[in-house]
Amino acid sequence: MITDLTRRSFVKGLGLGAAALAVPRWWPGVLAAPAEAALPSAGDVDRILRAALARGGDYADLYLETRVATNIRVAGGEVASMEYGVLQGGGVRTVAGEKTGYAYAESFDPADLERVAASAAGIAGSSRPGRVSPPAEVPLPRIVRAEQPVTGPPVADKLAILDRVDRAARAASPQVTQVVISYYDSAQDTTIVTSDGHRASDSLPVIYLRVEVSAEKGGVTAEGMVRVSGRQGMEILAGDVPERAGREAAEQALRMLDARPAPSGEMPVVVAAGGGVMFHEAVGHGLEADGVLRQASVFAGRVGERVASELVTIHDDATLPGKRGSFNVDDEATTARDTLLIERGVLRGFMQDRRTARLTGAGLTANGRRESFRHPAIVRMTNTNLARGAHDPGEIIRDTRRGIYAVSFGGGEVDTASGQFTFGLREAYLIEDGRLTAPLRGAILVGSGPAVLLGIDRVGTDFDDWPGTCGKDGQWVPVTSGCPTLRIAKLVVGGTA
Amino acid sequence: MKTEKTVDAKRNALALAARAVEAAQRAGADDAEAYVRAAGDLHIYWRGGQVENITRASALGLGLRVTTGGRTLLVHTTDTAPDALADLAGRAVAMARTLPEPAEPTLYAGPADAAAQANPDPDLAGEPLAAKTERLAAMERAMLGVAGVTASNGCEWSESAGAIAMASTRGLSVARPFVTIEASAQAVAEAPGDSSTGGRWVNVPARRYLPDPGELGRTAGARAAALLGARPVPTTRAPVIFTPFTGYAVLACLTEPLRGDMVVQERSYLRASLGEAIAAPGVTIVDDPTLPEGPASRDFDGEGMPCRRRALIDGGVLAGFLTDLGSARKLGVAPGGNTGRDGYDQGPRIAPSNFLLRPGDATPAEIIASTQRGLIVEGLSGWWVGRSAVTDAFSSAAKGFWVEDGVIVHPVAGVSVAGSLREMLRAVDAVGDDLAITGRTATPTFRVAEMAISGT
Repeated sequence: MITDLTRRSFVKGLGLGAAALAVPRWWPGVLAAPAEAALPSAGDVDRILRAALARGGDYADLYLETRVATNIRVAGGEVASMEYGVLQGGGVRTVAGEKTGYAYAESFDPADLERVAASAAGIAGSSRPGRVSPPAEVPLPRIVRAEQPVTGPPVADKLAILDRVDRAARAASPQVTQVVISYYDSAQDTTIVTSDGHRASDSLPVIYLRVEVSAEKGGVTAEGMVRVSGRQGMEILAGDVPERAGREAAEQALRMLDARPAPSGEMPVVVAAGGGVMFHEAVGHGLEADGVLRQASVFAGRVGERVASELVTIHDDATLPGKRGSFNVDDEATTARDTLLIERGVLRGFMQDRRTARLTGAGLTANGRRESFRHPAIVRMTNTNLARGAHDPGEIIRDTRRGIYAVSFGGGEVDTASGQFTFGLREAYLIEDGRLTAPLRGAILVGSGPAVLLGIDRVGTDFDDWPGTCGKDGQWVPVTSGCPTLRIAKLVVGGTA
Repeated sequence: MKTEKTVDAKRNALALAARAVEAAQRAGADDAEAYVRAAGDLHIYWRGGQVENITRASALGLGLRVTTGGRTLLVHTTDTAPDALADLAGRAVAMARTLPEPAEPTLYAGPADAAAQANPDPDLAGEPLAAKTERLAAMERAMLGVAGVTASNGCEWSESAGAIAMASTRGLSVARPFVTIEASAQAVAEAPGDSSTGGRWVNVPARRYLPDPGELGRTAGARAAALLGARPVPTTRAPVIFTPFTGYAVLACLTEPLRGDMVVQERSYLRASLGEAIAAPGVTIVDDPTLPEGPASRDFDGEGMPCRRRALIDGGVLAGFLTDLGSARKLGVAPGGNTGRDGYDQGPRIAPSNFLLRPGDATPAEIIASTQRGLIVEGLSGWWVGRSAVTDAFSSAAKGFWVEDGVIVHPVAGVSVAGSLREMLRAVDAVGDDLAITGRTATPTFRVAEMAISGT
């Protein structure tokens, strides 16, 4: 399949080459914006979509992406690695009923993309071509925009920010033994054209900073971790954000130095504000319409039914400005929106992409997302939040005789077919007689999503969210998940004590 | 003819790597190293007797590490035209010059051509699509033929074949063909008021190492059906038997603490244990990139170093760490050639190749029969969420079977198993003879004498 390793250059069309090098000191801004001229013309796009539907099919789309990314790792105060690069290419998808064909190439060349389209078209086996409507521009809400583009500052400025994180973490205590910082930013420019008449071009920044701190005391080692991330420009790291990130990661490690093994068995679990990842895993994945269609969700066929405690209202909302899961349009050119999933305990609907909406007759919810041009869009969450309730957060703990206070989650996993989930707890405390007593190490939570939803008996007035990266079908996309302080009456805690 | 094509892909990749290195030198780099990955990919998702999803692509990417004034960085691109390479190299050198402090360069001074790895499956890409979908159909049929199985959650085929090449200003010039095949089946079993899922997944470097599709499907179905009626057990401490389906997770938790860079950063719980007995005498863990059937075999690593088999834990004794050039220098040991590349867009990272727990003498049946009361773990979920190289914690949700007096008495779900890796390794009191290398991280059945089991 790979014979010709030099492919036609589209660099000239982008206005790069010598011109780019003439840009003083820093160029990525030039590189980040695929000039309109470099994209296939309207006539080319029409030909590509027609090729995608040449053998029938209900729907096709073309997705073009240029992404300029910087990746830096700092360990022990030194730059451990630095990576910078450009990802560019186009993907074509053909949908016929429940079937999807997808192909891509690292090229914007119309001839390459037509070949890609012909490859995707193979999934549909009809002799009657599918219909292609002329595209109309989808208006962009300005939900995501970079005030200070990530491609602006030289890399030395970014390293200086990471140095401030490192110093703040080390200054927190002499017990701090190691600081490892991972930084990623990217500027992504996309154009999406669908066969049912939509076209959108968008620019999305993202910044991700992760600080991991180890601390040691008397032969015991503990870790702390803080993430700062959003679809924003450099402004997300303005002011004392770098220092606060370093200090907070260090303080978490220091608190966990005194941790003792977590208990095991069933008990009440109070989830601190920001522990929304629990609902992302335990509930969110089960509300994605593709899983529902496959009958691989415990929530299939239950719209309108009571599935949760009436204290529970859950939204998936891509319209929150600057959040990691936000966008202006999704990766199928559907304008971002706020989708009500569960209202006071009653299931209201599922998250949809164009394929599932067509198959089920549901309305679009703008949840069609992809990792890059190398992947077709599938149903994904954005910012998934459990809404505020009426209970005082402090009182929720005071009302708990013996249980766990889960402050920071390390990650989770769910089997959507059965609803069974697992979470690791990075920071957790024992609750005894309504008071937080000992920090706990090695705790995990195991349970079933539907049971947890029904078992929530307190929902607080506070709220926080947490940036994450969600994996599904081999694709990783940025998300956030949020919730207030709340209590689950009974859950299995898997510790060793 | 197919073989010639392979040679071409290799030669073209190597020529591209050499061109990139030349471009970097022309741009003023002191040193440069190029990594090229060219691949043809195919993914098929089959469900309910038909193809539901096909993704195809041919992908080419280049990562170029440049060093100037002791400052190193990696740039990457998917555009390999000559003017684009010159442009990229110019940027890389300009950007490296702005780095604040010199870091120690770690380019391998390699031989001109050390590579001799043959293509394990040269005809793979030429195989008709129908032959691949027929395998998936056979898998699904066999799966649905298992009593209790009511639905297919899909059968998948993924293949990637191509070439990897590296060249550098230090004389490195190596290339190898690669093939990786993954096949999996996912079954749903149902009984009144009850359902369970089970699957089978394999990763091999050539079709001849692929288990029979019918057997793959039957195993997936049987694993789902066997867990119908599963229930939690009361919270307790008891022996835990890991099967090859779950033992890999325990092994995977050891990769971080065994990484030389984690040791240098003092983030590994094993950092001060070299030469010590850290595991039971029956535990020998090797990194073996030389196995023909190993899906992660490689003759040179992500830094271009020749690879060899290494015992990391030998008869229970910690014999060495996985190292790259940088961590080996800091640790004062010979570099292990243990780096991989997650893609052309990332620099080398320490990662095992085929990472294996060596088999023992006992049959799995003997291990179960000699267990008075304990849990056989057939499935783990979220094992990675509880792991930590620093604190050696292991905890995971688990399902499997409860054993009393050496006999399986009922299936188990909704429990967790937990322990510390340190104690678990020392408590391995039986290692099975059933190692099958159908994944890059693999173990035979083994038993840990005691772990915490959380249930009702």
